[in-house]
Amino acid sequence: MEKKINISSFLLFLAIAVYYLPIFNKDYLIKLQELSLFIPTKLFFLTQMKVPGGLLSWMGTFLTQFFYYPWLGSAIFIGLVVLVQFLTIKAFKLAWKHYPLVLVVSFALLLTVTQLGYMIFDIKTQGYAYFSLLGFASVLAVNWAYRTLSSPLIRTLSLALFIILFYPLFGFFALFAGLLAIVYELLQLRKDKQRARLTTVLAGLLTLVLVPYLYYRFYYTQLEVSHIYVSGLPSIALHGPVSKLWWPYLAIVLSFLCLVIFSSLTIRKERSKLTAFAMATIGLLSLYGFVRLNFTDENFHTELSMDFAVFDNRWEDVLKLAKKQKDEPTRMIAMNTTLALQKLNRAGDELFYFPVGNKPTASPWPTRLIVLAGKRMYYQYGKANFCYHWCMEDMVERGMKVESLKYMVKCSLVKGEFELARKYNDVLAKTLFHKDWAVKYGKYIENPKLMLQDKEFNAIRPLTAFEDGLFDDNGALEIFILNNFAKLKEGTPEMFEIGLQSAMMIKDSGLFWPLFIQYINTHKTIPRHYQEAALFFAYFEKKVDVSSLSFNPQVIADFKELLSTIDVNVGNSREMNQKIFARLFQHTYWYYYFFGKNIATP
Amino acid sequence: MKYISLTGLLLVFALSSCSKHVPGDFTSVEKSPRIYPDYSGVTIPCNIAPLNFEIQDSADEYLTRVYAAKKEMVLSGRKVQMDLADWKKMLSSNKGKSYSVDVFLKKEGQWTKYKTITNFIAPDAIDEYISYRLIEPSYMSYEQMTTNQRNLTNFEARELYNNKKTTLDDKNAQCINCHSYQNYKTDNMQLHFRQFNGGTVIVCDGKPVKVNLKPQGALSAGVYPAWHPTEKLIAYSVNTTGQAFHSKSTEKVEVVDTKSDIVLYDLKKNELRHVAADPNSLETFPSWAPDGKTLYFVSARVPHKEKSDTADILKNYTQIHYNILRIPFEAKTQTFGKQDTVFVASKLGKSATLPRISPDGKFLLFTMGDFGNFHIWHKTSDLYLMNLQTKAVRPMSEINSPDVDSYHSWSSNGRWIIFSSRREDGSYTRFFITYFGKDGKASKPFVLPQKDPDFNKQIFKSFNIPEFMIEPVKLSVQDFCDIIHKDAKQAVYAD
Repeated sequence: MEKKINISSFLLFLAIAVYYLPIFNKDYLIKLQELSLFIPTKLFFLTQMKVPGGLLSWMGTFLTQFFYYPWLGSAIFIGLVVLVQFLTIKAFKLAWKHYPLVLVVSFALLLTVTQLGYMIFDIKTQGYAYFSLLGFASVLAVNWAYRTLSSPLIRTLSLALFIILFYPLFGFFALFAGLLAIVYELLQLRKDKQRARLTTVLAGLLTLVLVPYLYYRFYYTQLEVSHIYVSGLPSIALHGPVSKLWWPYLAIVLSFLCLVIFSSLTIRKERSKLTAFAMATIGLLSLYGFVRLNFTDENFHTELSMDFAVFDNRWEDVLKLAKKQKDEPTRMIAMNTTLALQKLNRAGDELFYFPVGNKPTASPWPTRLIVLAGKRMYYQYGKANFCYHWCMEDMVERGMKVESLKYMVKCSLVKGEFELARKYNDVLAKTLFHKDWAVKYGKYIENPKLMLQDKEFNAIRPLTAFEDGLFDDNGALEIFILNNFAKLKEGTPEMFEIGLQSAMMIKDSGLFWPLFIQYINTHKTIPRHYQEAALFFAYFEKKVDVSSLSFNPQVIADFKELLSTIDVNVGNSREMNQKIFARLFQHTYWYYYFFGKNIATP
Repeated sequence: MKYISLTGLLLVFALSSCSKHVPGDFTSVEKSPRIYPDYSGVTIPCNIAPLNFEIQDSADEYLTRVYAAKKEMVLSGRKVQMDLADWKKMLSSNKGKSYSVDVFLKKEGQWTKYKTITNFIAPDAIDEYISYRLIEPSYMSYEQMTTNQRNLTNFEARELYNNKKTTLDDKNAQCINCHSYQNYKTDNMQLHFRQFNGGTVIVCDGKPVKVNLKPQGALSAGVYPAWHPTEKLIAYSVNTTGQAFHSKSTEKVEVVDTKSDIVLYDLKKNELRHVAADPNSLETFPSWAPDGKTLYFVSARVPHKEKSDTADILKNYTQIHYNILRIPFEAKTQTFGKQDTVFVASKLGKSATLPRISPDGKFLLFTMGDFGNFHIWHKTSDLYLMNLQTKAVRPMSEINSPDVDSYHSWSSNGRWIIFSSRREDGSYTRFFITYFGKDGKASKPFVLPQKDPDFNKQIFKSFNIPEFMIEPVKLSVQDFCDIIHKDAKQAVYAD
């Protein structure tokens, strides 16, 4: 019975871990490594080691890079969780029948990665994905080793020495390991009444309190006094909705404290059925906790998939993802879709075909579109300075990332800053999995003429034909891009067409007309949405006469139907009209004009 | 027996290590080796740290011979990192002479010797220390920044202050501003902090005090400082500064002052008073002449005097041109005389900033670009030299680059200049050192040597505000931290 429960629990955990890592979260894991960086240099190592717990960052960033191949990265992660299971059993001398107890820790560790959601863009801790795993593994390994020491003197000395030596490497986790050892000594003292244990406890407590403070006073130059006992833990606020990210940590800390007590209890007579039931319940409860806190938002995953498609210029894939979307899209999805249509030169006919969404991101904490998509959007719209600007802000606030470095290389190339491009590209060349990318762009640095054969640069170049000026986007990504294009005075036909679409999106007829007139003077055919907008503005504003233009008879017929529908339903509520108009005109500019939500880019 | 074997092995290893020698059979080419940093044809101080470099050409094996009279070092490997003691011996026994570098590369079994590099060892020493700030060339954000101290005679560097030592989180961020020393010594120095726990830490006779230099209604606290060479007085600029971002230019950021004045802070009285505060002018970057009898600064007319808000200044930022002015100062009575203009850059359609007088008082070194005062973002920025006797001004073409060349300091003996330049990649500022001859000409500049020659490529921070010191700062990061946590003493305006 116990064996069956153990095996099923283990297999259940494995199945869940495999599903929620490389299968369900494939793109998420790839993004996780793109938002991290490991380079095998002394400087990188020393930079991480500037605070207690720095080794976790260094090892964490090293291991995070393997998520480049989600199955490989997941195999390493799951393997380490299994190691933690083994260490938990050994450190607390658990019987195998108590195996489900370790599932609390295992699911909590899994959760530290899968619950992050939008926080992956904002978190300032380098190598976060492995922080808890490596930290708590070290706690267990130390406690296991500690319990094998028999001499009280050796235990006392090794406890003090361990804290002194391991605090710089593991920070909080070294202190927590020391605390567990002290709790263990106290519990044993109750049993065996060995007075020598008191010496160990007192020496341990003294070391625990003093060592971090002494390091703070005399060694570390970037450690704030209130952080001395928690350095090595991720940089996440303790208050507000983001504090939810602490729950798995809390669960593990409490589990370890319970397990150290549990392992010291002398249970005279254990009822096997009751034990099995209790173990199964604990296992199921941890699974329930995991499922409840896990982040599974559809929009988030669509955004990530679109992000990769945009980076690789797979525009058709962006549209496929947009079509597949069931939920109301976020502005980021809407922006990606618009961008793909523009890149495919289909926006004039299809811009308003896709649902106009403005669903807030399903993040319990505030997220800013500029942080999520600023680099990508600015780069794709030819605004290399703004892309570089936000890469730099990100690098300053959250550290170097593969993603930022790649955009910095691209921006520098677009702007002809080849030595700067080389500086960023050289870092990527030192990584394990982005070398090939660096080789490709290294060729452009050495021979910029090769850039003329690059489709991506060729698509961006026509969008860069604008004069320099001083601007501040104030962090409002979408409206800044729209206004910037809609108010164009000079540029290329590609820029003017995006300007025309932007004027339509911000519903500004004053900006629409000059761009529309320019468009019809340079193009033989007028896409459907431009016709819709021209008919609409001309009819309602009566400022421009479009009677001489040859519009599609179907568009004219549809417009007449729109006018009659307006007449018939003039007294209806907005909600009722939205339903009526959605049925008849959902994929038209008219519907967007009346019912498209205001573009908000927080 | 075991120990004898081990000793023997160690001896063989030691001997083999010493036995590196240049190949006997090689082909010579009249081509210079590609090395980074470019340490060829430069004049170096007789006490500088080893000029380690990396060979840029690819080969199967690398050998480098560094030699001068009575001394030779042969090193293998692509990175040429010399032993400090050997290097010191070579420099000290060859002052006023040259040292040479031969690079040998082995490709397909054949050694090739490249053209010999020759550098001159000046008999003049450089000041032992510099201090500087490390910061990303960023736009709005700052997370972690430090003010550091570097011993130029070796590679020892330490932080003087790290803002992470006192800042808790994003809401309590802290920015470190300029540092300044009295007459190259560190017992009288100042370091300014903004925002969280903000204030100016002034070390006076070795004792640090935190002062709030922004009385109510003042433009700002002291921004750009200049210690009087002998008195307990610090001249500051007070500035209201704004910034905006270029949409296309590679200069990327434009920083402008919308208001600025020059004030003098009297440490003994804890009083401030205005020195130059014309409402129609923007005055900034004070700098004392070495004798303390003249205060130099730069000043620009506000483009539209009736309206000088940020938006207006940003619209007309290319019309702002700074000229160099000076004002006599009587230390005994602590009174200023009548100001006069030293150099009218605006007439040339240019803008001059950061005036610095050579220790012998003969030369004025300044930075000049097309407009504005924040030249670290201006590619047109170059160093210029004025002979104060003849008033002749010339661009220092021998040290300038097509990219930004800006913030500069004279060594205490006047023979060395350290300055900031973005010539390596156009974005990250690095320090360059040049020898300044008695004839008023400078030698080819070389980048500040680092233990790992690749260091400058690996680090993603700019080095800025290099200031020479003849002794190290005695206070530790913790000392600064302790004083920063204290309440600031409020300074008041006397006028």
